[in-house]
Amino acid sequence: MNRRSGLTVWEIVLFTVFLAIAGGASVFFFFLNSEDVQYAQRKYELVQHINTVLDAICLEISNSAQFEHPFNGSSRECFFRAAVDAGTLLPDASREGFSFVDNNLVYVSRSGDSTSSLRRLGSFENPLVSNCREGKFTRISSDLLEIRFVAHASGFMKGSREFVRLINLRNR
Amino acid sequence: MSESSSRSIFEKLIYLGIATFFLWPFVQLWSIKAVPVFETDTHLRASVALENLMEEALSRPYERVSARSSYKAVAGCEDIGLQGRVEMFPHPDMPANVMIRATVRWGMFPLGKSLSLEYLRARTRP
Repeated sequence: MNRRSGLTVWEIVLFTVFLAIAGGASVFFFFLNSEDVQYAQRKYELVQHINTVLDAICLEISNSAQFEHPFNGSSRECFFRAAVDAGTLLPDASREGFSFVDNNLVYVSRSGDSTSSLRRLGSFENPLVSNCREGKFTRISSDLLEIRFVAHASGFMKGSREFVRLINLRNR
Repeated sequence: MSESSSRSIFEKLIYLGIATFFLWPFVQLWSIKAVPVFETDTHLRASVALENLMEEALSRPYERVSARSSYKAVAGCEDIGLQGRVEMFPHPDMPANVMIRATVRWGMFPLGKSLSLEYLRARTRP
């Protein structure tokens, strides 16, 4: 009589497969909790924040009514006449711009007699990006501007990342 | 059921159900484009490179690039093997407009990924 006793082969296979999945999953979850992954996530968060700020800057510059400085070559600051929601222009003496000052990128506004950095750009506070070096705005062609800087991670984080953005000046 | 008979169809279905219950999350992983922990940074860099490619294409005057332009390596992203191309062609439905499509791709063939961005522009600029 063909009497079954104990485990069959494919029950053992199934048991082994489930055991492997459970072991692999627990190792993976320990890895997710590790210091390395949390460090990578913090660094990614920083890079993403800078990219979000750069998106807003690019939008502001590309939609500017008139882009004035740098006219050619490169500079540590840029100035333009901003577009206003009403479709009108601000008074001729007032300019807005971005400037690399003391390793910070700040949003500044310049009128006939003074320059102030007490402005907000959308939801971002000044300084927009801190701890950035070698920042410059380069006018590549009449309607193409490049922002380039190296951001250094602050505090406990090490390393740096170069950010480059090209902006098509739509209302040149 | 006598002990000599093999497993019934009902038992086999139960085993199949249990196995599916355990394995289904892993099957679903196949459809994720980027595993967040490992590949978001590459994805982010590729998307920025894509935006830069598009802005550069927009700043050029309209030129008739063949619809099948080839991929070229993106400067500054050689370490992830990023390649990009720009296509400009008349819009199939609106002949007065030009379609500009920038595409970047990276990765080896079976696991390759690509991102693309399209921009519709009037053929004559103001």
